[in-house]
Amino acid sequence: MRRFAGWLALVALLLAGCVRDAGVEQVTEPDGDGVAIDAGGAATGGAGDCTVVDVAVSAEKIDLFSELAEQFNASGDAQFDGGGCAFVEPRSVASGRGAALLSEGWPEPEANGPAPVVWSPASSAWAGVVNQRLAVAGAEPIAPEGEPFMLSPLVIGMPQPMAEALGYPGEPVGWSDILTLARDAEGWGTYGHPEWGPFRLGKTNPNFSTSGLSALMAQYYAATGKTEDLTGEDLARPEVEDFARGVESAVVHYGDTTLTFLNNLARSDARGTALTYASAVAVEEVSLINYNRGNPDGVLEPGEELVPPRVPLVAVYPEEGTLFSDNPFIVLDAEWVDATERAAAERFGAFVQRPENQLRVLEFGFRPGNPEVAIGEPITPALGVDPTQPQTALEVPEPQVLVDALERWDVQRKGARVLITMDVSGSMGEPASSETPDTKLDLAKQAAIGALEDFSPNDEVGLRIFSTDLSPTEPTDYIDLVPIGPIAEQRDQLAERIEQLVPTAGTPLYTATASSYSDLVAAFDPQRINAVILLSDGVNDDPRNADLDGLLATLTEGTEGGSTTPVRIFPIAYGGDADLGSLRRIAEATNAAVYDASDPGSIDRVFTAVVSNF
Amino acid sequence: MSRVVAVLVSVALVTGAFYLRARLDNAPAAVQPTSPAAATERAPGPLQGDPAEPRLVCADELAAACTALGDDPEVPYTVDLQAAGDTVEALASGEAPDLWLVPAPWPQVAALLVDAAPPAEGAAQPAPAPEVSEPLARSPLVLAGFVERLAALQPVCGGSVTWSCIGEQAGTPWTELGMPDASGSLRPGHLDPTTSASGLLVLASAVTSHAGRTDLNRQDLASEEFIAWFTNLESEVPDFAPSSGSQVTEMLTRGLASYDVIGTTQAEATLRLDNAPDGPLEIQVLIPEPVTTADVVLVSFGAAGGLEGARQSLDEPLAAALADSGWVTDLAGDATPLPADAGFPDAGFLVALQERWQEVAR
Repeated sequence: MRRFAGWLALVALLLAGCVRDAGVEQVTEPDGDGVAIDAGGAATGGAGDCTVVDVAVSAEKIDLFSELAEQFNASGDAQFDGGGCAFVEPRSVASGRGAALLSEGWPEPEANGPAPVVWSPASSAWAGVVNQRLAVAGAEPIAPEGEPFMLSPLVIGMPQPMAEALGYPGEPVGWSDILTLARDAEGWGTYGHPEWGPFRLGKTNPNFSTSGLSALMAQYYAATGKTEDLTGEDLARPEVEDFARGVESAVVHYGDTTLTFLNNLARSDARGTALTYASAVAVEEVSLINYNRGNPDGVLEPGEELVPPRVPLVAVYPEEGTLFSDNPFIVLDAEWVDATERAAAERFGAFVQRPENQLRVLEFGFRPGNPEVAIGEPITPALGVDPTQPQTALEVPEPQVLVDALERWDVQRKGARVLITMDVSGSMGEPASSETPDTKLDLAKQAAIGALEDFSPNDEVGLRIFSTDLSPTEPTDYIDLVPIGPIAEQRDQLAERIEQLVPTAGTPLYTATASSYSDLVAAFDPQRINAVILLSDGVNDDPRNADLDGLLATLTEGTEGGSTTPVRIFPIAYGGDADLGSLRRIAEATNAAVYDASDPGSIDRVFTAVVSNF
Repeated sequence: MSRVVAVLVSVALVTGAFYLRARLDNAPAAVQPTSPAAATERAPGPLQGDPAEPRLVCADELAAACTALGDDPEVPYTVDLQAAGDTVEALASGEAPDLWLVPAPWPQVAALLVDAAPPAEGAAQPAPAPEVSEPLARSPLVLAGFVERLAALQPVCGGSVTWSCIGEQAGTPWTELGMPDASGSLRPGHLDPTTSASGLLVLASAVTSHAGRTDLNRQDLASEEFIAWFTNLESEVPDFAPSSGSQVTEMLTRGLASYDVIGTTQAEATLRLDNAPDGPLEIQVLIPEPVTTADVVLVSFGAAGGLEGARQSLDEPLAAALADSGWVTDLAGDATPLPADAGFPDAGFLVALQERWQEVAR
């Protein structure tokens, strides 16, 4: 079983009684600004003597919540009638992680942050997840139904010319059309556009991402023709399994956040190659709006200029129906919530539902939860979305069905062919930090061995190490310790060889990257996700090959165009001395993502996030 | 005159049923809102006040009025919201509130359900005799639907949209109902008739519409023709509860993805829609034939001073609160002419209908 402790895989593990790691982290910064785990919300000043209301919110709305909290804290609404005041402190906690922590009574507040009074995950389904787990443990539920704070339906985002080629918006498009395209050997050639190549789908890992899970459920509903009451028996039907495998076969790669796809798409668009990176991405409507605004990651940095894409996305609302992320505002019935905190939380809950604050929700691209605010700008056709859609909603299945679906996804999803390329240069022997005797290599080895459990049994994985003059014979700068092969057969061998690694000499980063890439291209398997995990802690120090531009040109050339053999390179910038800038460019050249593990202590979580792409 | 007789008969029926049962007690109990509607339609902060105060439980459908009552310092009751079905469960387990504000004929339905329930453990005290008022306020049951979809249904339904027609057409793709560009099929909505007061009334209204009469009995629910119609209707009604507690709110926030047409009280529809600005989709409210009404009654379970005493302190603020929340309180006036009675089959049929619904929809 995969180790992914994602939001509903967690439930699967919990129900199966085999939890390894109840926590799940969402990497919200695929561009390398750090693994954003429980990043705090905006500073809102000191709480003073006020009653502090800790609020755990999913990452995509932390900016909005922080803004509202700041306004609330400064307003008369925060003042109690008989004296005293409320002070709201939002924190970003990925929905799955929040569910896991709540299910365990929110342990280790010094590491996980304070236990929240209010919880607002992306979907109300999470409340059921928590309560289900507590019920299994014989405990009372703590997550009552919360009032939806704002809504965003899952859509299939397609570059406009591609959607139009399918007849959209005149003709309804759904998951069945995706399946047909995925199975069509002619790809877009069938629609008169062979230059667009095969159909390519961007879809996140449902163990990590709410949109990935919603897409998975929508696929299953489409395969069954149902809109509610999905059952485990439905999922086991051969035609349903066939449908699922068919859709998954078109996936570019998975991942823990849709931002990876949208950022890559934006870069491809800037180069004029958007139509050959992904034909469709399953995202929340709000993400598509942000993309078309020119803000693909939804975060506007100071001074950042909005540059709308040349080829906009249009939101296809699947004709079979879709699911909403409803962002409930849940005041927890937990033992750590006292009456004063509850009263303060309810004040804030009423505050965020006010029409003037729901207008802010709308400005952020979400649909307001308060019907007193009508849907309007920016949910308009001008930004690729349709306020009169979707026309069919799908029911969130029962927790056990979700568990079944995730377990089936693990074997139905597209397989991967991955080469782990690890830097064993001398600097890897340096201490990971002043607080531990472990070296950077020690921690990396532990993380890599742990990550082996994250691969599906159907995946193929190999191990390459690199350092200057590592081998007496050509090629001298890298050695394949374990050739790529079925991980089910060589997991132990991989772990053993990783365990034996020792730091050696220099860092021939470009040579190792180029060779790993070219070897995978040469043995490209079109039925799989072909990728390199490139871990490095330093800069290229090989005078024989210092040509980064040449390397990038090769990678870009192999990535663009409709008939490529796309091999993605997912670099991990490990430790404070890693060449994050070059690694980012390498990732971007292959339409992948770089992961920042500048804090060596984060390498375990980062490895897990990287493997979520497969 | 006939209405007065009907009210007297219903009071006698309910009183008799509760006396016969004789196993309720009137121990006060702090009851939190238990339904999504109760949880979400309340004003911020709890309605309940001093636990020593007598307790008035309101059906969720009366949330707006009861929130106002709860906020009124002159009202000597702790006011709680609760789904009608949950109140029935509480009654069956020996936990009667002092007062219950609910649409008729739920008191009669409750009496039958409590009679049929196994005796509550430890409920040795005889039940206080319930007293049921005459209707204090009324609201017609309406259909609320998206304008274009109701317009498309109208010719299909022979000129006017009724529940009978909705039941026949439920599940029909909109492309076959004159909307070539629409996706999905006709999806009607009503709340759970075993827990929601208005859910049961709407379902009864639908069945009455289909049968064309109100003198229905259990056998009518067994006919093949009825089962086919009823099954078709219920197979298309989403069985998940609206997360906001209100189907009208769901329509406003989720648009066509929620329901095409739902049944509710005119009071609720008006309250919600009047507060909603114009959006991309317009919702229309119409009163289908035959007209049925939700009639609010006050039930006393041994409240101090009895029903009469309770009404002395409650009538005035209650009438104002109900009127403010869209209920018709001027029952003798001509401003809103309503039929003489609510237009439902008897309580025994409604209980049988709940059972049939559970068989078909669950």
